[in-house]
Parts: sequence; structure tokens; C-alpha cells
Amino acid sequence: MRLILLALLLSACPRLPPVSGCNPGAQSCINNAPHVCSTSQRWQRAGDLACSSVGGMCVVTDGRAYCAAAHD
Amino acid sequence: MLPLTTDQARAFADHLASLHRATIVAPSDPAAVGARAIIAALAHLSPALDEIASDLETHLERVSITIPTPTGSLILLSPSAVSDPMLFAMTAAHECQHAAQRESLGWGQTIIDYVGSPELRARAEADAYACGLYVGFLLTGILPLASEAMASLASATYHLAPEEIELARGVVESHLESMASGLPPPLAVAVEAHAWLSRL
Repeated sequence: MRLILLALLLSACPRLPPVSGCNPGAQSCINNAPHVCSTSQRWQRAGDLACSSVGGMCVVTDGRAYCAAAHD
Repeated sequence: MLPLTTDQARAFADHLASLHRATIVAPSDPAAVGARAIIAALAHLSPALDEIASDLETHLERVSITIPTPTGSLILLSPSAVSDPMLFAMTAAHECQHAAQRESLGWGQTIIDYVGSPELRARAEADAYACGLYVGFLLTGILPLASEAMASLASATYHLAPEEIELARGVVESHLESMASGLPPPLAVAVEAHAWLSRL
């Protein structure tokens, strides 16, 4: 019974990404997608697609991660 | 691009909704009035939702909401959202991004994430605002400012602490930078909006 309750509790938890130790506010490209570091030091993805899906590639310029047009 | 007509805005909204198993309900629809009353009543039953419910009631006239359900999403548009075709289209894109999140996570997890984690709520709202801003950009050609979204995100509606608002700002600014570079933000709804609007 306790296991069932534990399973129910776990299944009712928000699914946060793992703590990575990143610097809050930092931005990075992970798997060709822009990510922003949260205060809890988790990488939160910006968007739901990789940059390749919009014809670009993820780049970091002046600390900002975003999708830029891919060049040959 | 020519100004969007109300019929075009409605067709655009219906198209996006059809891609994400969402049903759009106009504010004048009796079902919308009833649904809002039920949501507010249910929300008051849970202390965790009480504050959100209070704000929902306060801002019913100007806040549109998306309700994840086991069979899809129900989008209740506010009267102000349908008062102008461009605002209608921007709001539809915003709310359909929430429907897309429900499709991705499942309805139960979507609710748990949104209600249980301000961090995940901030990220979800930032993506949704980016969809709306991108539609405005496509219709006007004017690159939006992050401040347009941040004013709403920082309002009492979303109950976000300053650190979560900063996370949302980072996400919105990333999306705006993608727009400035000539690409849609990496969001499925933004890509779908671009495809539909480019046919006008």
C-alpha cells in the first residue's frame, strides 16, 4: 500500500529537469536547442523544437542562445 | 501584409486548434460562461488554486485560458481577445501553444507542472507569449520587444516570483533573437502559424 501511495505521489510531481549546477540566467545550446539556466540551476529549454526544425542552428552570441540561419 | 480580417483570424485560430486537438470557445458562447463558472468553483476547492481562481474571476474579461482535458484542450477566449483580428490571432497562437504542451505532456502532467512548479509555469508561459509575439511580428513586420510580454508575465495573473520572471525573460529574449535572425522561434505552433499566414 505504501509503495502504491509513493508511486502516486511521485507520479503527481512536476517533471523538472535535473539540477545541473549551471549559473542562473546563463544561456546555452544543448542538442541544438537554446536553453536558459533557472535559479534552481536547471537548464530549461526555450521552445519545443530543435533549431534544425526551423532551418537553423543554435548559436550563443553575447550570452544569448538562439536559432540562427545555418550557413554552409 | 494586409490587415487580417475577423474571418481570417477565426480561420487561423481554427486551423491551429485543429492541429492540437483544441476546441475554441467564443466568449459569447453559453458554454464558455458556464465553463468559466465551473472552473472558478472547482479551483476554489483547492487551496493551491485559490489565488489563481481569484485572479481568474477578476480578469475574466481580458484573460483567455486553455483547459487541458483527457480528450484535448478547451480554449476559452476572453472578450478582449476577440475584439481585434490581430489580437485574436495572437491570442489563438498563445493558447494553442498551451494545447501543444498538453499534447506533449499529457493532460494530467500538464496540470501538475503548471500548478505545482512556478519554474515550469514561467517557461510554459514564455513559450506561449513568444508564439503570440511571433504572429504579431508576421502581421506587422515590427519586431516586438520583450517588455510587451514581460509586463503580462510579471502581473499577478501568473504568480511568478522575480527569479521565475527572469527565467521567462531569458526564454522570451532567446525567441526574439531567433525572430531577429529571420527564423521562427523553435516552437511548433510558430512554424504552423508562419506556414498558414504565408499563404495569405
